[in-house]
Amino acid sequence: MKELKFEEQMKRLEEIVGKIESGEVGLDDSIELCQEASGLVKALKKKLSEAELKVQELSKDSDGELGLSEDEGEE
Amino acid sequence: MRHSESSESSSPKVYRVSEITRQLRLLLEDTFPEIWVEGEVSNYKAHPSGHVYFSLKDEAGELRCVMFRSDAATLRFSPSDGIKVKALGRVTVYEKRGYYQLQAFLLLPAGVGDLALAFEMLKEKLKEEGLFGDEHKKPLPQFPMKIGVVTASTGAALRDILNIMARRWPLATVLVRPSRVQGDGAAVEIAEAIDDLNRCPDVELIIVGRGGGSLEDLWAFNEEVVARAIYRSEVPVVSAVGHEVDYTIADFVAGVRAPTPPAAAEIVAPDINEIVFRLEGLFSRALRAAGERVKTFSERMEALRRSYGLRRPRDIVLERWQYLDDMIRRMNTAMGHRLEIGASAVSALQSRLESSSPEATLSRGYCICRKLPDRKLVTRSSELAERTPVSLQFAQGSAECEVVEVEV
Repeated sequence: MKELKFEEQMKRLEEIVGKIESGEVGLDDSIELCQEASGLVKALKKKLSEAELKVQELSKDSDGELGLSEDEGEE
Repeated sequence: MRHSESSESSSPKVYRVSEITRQLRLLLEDTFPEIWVEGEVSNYKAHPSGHVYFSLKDEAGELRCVMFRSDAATLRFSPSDGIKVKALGRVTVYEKRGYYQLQAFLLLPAGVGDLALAFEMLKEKLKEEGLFGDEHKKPLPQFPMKIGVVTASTGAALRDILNIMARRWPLATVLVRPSRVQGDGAAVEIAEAIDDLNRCPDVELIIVGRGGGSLEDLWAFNEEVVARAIYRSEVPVVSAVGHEVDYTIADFVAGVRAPTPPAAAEIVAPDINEIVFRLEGLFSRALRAAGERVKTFSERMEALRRSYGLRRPRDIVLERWQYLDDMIRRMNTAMGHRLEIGASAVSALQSRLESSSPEATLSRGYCICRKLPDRKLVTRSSELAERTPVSLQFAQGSAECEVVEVEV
């Protein structure tokens, strides 16, 4: 699920920092992890800066069927 | 007709005291399981055990009351003699002393309206059932990506929530399930909306609320259907009803009570600025830690380069050489010694051999005499006669001679 990615990426970033800080990874690995962290930060920041609140309305018709309608996000 | 004269001629039923007391108790408890009684407090006594004893009086009567510790602990005011209260409880019998009493669960100052009484009763009931237990309350997700909202589609509450969401956490999708929030049927609609949002995939939490209003306006959130819908929700529910001071049953069942709808949005939505800040903090920590690693490694490398360990292979070679030399020397010494011993042994043998040989004897001045011409070795003079030719062998050289005279 794409929406879950943010939390996963955040978790991965925290994990990376913890790994490098703990000193349990080798030099090569910590440099590689650092690069991964940099990529994650970039991706996360991009997500944050481009994000726009989506508002949907869940409605129910007379038969009890649920329907979705998309609104434009409010500013 | 008197009992004693009944046709069955059985003796009248005689109760034991405890028996009749028990029966009265059952009768009373069945008849008055939960009632409200209004009266004036007298003889109010809070026992050190935590139980509270008092009576309720009016002009014509008095009712003993007891409130046990667990109920007394929920008292939200301090009753005292003379004040008018409404008590919720059941009529029971204190069997030991044989008097009936009201076991009160709840005490409210008189003068509160019917809604307040209904509120307290439902609250009491749901609490008993465990709907307010923390163990049922679900933690809020840290980064909710899909947030359900149940409120009036035209209310200020929704507008506030969306504004704050857009500002703080625009990554999210807000899924609004509009519902009436006051008036007849509002409670059922709210409950249905909560259930509906639970059927939508990915909804991670639900905000249920409305803006401020009178107790009557907020009433839907005090109804049992709403409480039960919140309780059965699979995702955490944040209640956001009215103003800070308004408490509803929904607040008690919900995982989190927000004082107002905008506050609910603030509670559930992480602040994007904080996250950016956190991201940068994390990244600089990663960089710093990696830098540390590089530094540590280069220091270690330098240390290694200078270390005994790296010089050691050369030392080992040299040491081996030395050892080898040493061994050769020792071997040579040992061999030399052996050879010497051998040599002296050989010369000793040789001299022993030599000392026993005829040549050695000859060299000491003896000579060997052989009779000629057959060169037979002569060991007795009787073997010789005058003029017998003999050969004399000396250590060096020999001579042929004639015997001049023989002495026997």
